[in-house]
Amino acid sequence: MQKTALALLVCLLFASPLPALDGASVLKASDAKTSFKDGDYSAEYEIVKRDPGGATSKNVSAIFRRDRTDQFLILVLEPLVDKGKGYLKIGETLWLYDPVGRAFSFTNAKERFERTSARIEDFKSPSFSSDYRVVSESKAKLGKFDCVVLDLEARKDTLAFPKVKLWISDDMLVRKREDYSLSGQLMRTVAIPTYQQVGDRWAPASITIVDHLKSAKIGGKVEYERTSIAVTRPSRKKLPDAVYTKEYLERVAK
Amino acid sequence: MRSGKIASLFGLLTFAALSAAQNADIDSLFEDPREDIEQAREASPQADHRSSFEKADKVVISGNFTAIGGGAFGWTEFPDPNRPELYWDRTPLASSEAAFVLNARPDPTFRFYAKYLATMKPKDGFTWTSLTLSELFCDYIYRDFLYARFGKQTIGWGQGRLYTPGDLMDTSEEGTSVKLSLPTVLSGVSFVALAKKTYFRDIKTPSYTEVVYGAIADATLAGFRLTAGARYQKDAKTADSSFGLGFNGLASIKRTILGTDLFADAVLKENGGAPVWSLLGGFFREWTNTKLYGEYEWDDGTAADSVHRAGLAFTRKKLFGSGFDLGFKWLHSFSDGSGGLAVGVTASPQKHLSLSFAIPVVYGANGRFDILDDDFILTQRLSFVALVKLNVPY
Repeated sequence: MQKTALALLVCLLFASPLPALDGASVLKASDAKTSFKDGDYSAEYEIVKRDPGGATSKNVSAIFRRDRTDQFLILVLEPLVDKGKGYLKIGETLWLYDPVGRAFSFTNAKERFERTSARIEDFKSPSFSSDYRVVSESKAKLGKFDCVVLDLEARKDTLAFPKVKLWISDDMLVRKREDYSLSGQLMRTVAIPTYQQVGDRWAPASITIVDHLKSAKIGGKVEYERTSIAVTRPSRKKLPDAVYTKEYLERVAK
Repeated sequence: MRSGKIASLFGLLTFAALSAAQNADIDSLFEDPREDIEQAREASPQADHRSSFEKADKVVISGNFTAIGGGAFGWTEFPDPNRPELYWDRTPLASSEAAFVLNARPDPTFRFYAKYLATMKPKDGFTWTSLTLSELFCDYIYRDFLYARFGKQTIGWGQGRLYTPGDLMDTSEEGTSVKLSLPTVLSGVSFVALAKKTYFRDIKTPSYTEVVYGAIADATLAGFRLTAGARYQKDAKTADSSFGLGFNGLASIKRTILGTDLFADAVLKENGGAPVWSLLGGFFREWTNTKLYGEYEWDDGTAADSVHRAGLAFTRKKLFGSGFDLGFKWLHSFSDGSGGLAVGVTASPQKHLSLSFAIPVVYGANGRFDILDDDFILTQRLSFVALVKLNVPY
C-alpha cells in the first residue's frame, strides 16, 4: 500500500508541468540569450529614418561590442561626410568623437543616435534584468508569437526610459518593447520581428522603431517618425583591446 | 476651468487613440514575419568590420573649396543717437580657401595623410598664397598595442573650447613631432617629442635638449576622467612664447552630471621664473539640435596681464522648425571689462550655399573684434554682418 502511494506520488510529481519561469527569470534568460559575454560581437547596421511626410535619411554604422566588459564602439560609415564619427562606451563613460573638430566630448547614452529614433544605449549589451525590476507580468499573443508581457520600472535614473513594457516570446527573445516616460506617456515602440543566430547566441536581424514624440499631420492623418534597422554581417571575430580606445577612434577617423 | 479639463481629457484620449492606431500598425509586423535565421548565413568569424576603416585599396583624394563674401555695416564707435552718421562704416568681407587632402591606407598597420591649403584674404591683397603644407604625417601601428604618428600634426590637449590654457602642445602644427601612444594602458598614455626650426641655435647640430618633450595620461575612475600631462624643454634659441622654457603641467578632471559635461583644467607654467597658475572651469551640453557651453578662466599671470574671463556659446539647429540655425557667443574679460558678443542666424537655401546674418557688438578697450571668426577681425563696435558662403567638399 505504502509502495503504491509512493509510486502515485512520484507519478504525480513527474506528471506536473514544470513551474513556469517568473518574470525576473524570463528577463534574465532573455538577456543571456542575446548577450555575447564570451568574446566580441560586431555587425553592420543600416539605419533608415523616415520623417513624417516621407523624407528619408540613411546611416550605415559598424558596431563592435564586448559585453563582458560593458564596452562598445559605433563607427559611422555613411553618410560619407560623417565617416569616422564614433561613439565609444567604456563602462559608465560614453565618448563622442567628432573627426572634423578632432575633439572628444562626453555624451549621454540616453541621446538619440544620429538624429534617428534609436538611442545610443540601444546598441549596448541587453541588460533589462539588471536595469529594471518587474512590476507585473501577463501573457499575450503578438501576431504568431506567444509572449510573456512584462511591465518594468527602472532601477536607476540614468536610463533613457523609466518605464518599459516588453513582449518576450517563448524562445526568450524580446519581440516588442514600449518605452514610457515617468508619467506613463508612450514615447517609443520598438519591434524586433526577426532575429539571427550568431554562434550560440541571437542578435536582431531587423528592428523597427516608431517615435511617438515626433509626429506631423499629413493629409489629415498623423504620421510618426519611423526608423528601420537592418543588421547584417554579424561576426564573432575576436577584436584587439585597442579597438575600444579613444586612440583607435582617432586613428580610423577620415 | 471645466472646459480646460475636458480639453485635456480629449487630448489624452486622442493621443491614446493615435498611439493605439500606431501600435496596430507595428503589431502587423508580427503577423507573418520573416523566420528567425538559424546560424545567419552572413555570419562569419572572419567578417572583419574594422577593415572598412583601417584599409583602403586606393589613395583617397578629397578636399574642399570655400569662398565667403559679404560686408559689415556699422559704427566704429557706439553710435550717437543724435548724430548716427558719426563713426558710420562699411567694410567688405571676403576670404577663400582651397584644401587638398591625400589619405592612403595601404595596410591596416600604415597610413599616410597630407593636407595642403591655399588661401586668399583681402588683407593679403586679394592674392592667393601658394599651396602650403597644413598637415603631413604617417601612422604606424605595432600589434594594436603601440600607435606611432610622425610628421607635421595637430596635437590637442586640455578641454577648453573657448579658452585653451591646457593645450600645452598648441604649437605642434608649426613643427615636426613624434607621438607614441599606448591606447590600452590606463585609458591611454602618449609621449610626444616636438622639434621646430626656431628652437635650435644651430640647425646643423640640433641638440636633444632643445626639443620639447611631453607626456599625457588618461584614466577613468568612478565616472571621472582624470588627465595628467607635462611638457618640458630645457633649452632653446627661441622658446614658444606661450610656454617658455622649463616645466608646464596640466591636470584635468571631467565628469558627466545630469547629461552635462563638467570639466576643469589646472595648468602650471614654470616659464623660467615664478610659476604661473591657470584654472579653467566649464560645461558642455548637447541635445539633438542644440549645443550649450560655457567656460571661465583665471590666470594669475602678473599684475599687468592677469587673465580673468568667461565665455558662453549656444547653437540651435532648425530654430522653431525653420531652416535657420541660430548661434550666440559672448566672450567677456573681467580684468578690463572688455569683450564681445554676437548673435546670428544661418540658412542654407541651396546645396553648398549658406547665408549668414549676424549682429556683433564689441565693447571695452581690448574688446573682442574677432568675435565672429579669427579670419574676420572687425573694425566696428556695433554692426550688421551679412555673408554668403560657398562650401563644396569633394
